[in-house]
Amino acid sequence: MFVAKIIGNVWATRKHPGLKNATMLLAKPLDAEGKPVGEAQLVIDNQGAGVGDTVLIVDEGGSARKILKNSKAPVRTVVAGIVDKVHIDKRG
Amino acid sequence: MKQAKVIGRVFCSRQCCGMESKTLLLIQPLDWETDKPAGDPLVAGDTVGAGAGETVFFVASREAIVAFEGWEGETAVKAAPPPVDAAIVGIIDGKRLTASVSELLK
Repeated sequence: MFVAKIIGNVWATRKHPGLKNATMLLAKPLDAEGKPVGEAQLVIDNQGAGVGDTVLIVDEGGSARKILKNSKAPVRTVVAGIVDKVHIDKRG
Repeated sequence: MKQAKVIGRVFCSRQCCGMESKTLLLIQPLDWETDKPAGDPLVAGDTVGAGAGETVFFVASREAIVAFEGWEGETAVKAAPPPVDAAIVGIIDGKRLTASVSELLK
């Protein structure tokens, strides 16, 4: 899983039946300090995350389908939760 | 899932099991934020009937098989999924990006 920031959304009417009424958001992965790193990715959301939210993204098909409760969904990146706080232990 | 532009199509007279009836499209992956080409073009199986020049999004590896498992367009079929490693699963109607990512991340 990785932490990401929602930076936009995408809409598509013609899509795979397994993605029916799935909200699709664009998420930019963040590193530990919260700086953007890497490419933006399309994620499926059923937690009600909006643009500007920091979210936790699961990045594996099996768990993604379990979250969406849809064994036919051809997706790998799904919002698993909305992050309130990331604490980094500086004493180490 | 990545964004891509359909730039062509691949026709094979001889191909391996299960791929006969599947359309194989040549797609150029694009970056979501800048719409610039990101990576080399690749061939993906098509599940939504995308045409040339359309902007689509696709899945890779295991998800490509899941995309074909039991579906033929809108109808469910019993046929075994083709051995593909990329599958187009949607045609993008539109997308909206926030003004700037940096201001969002302050």
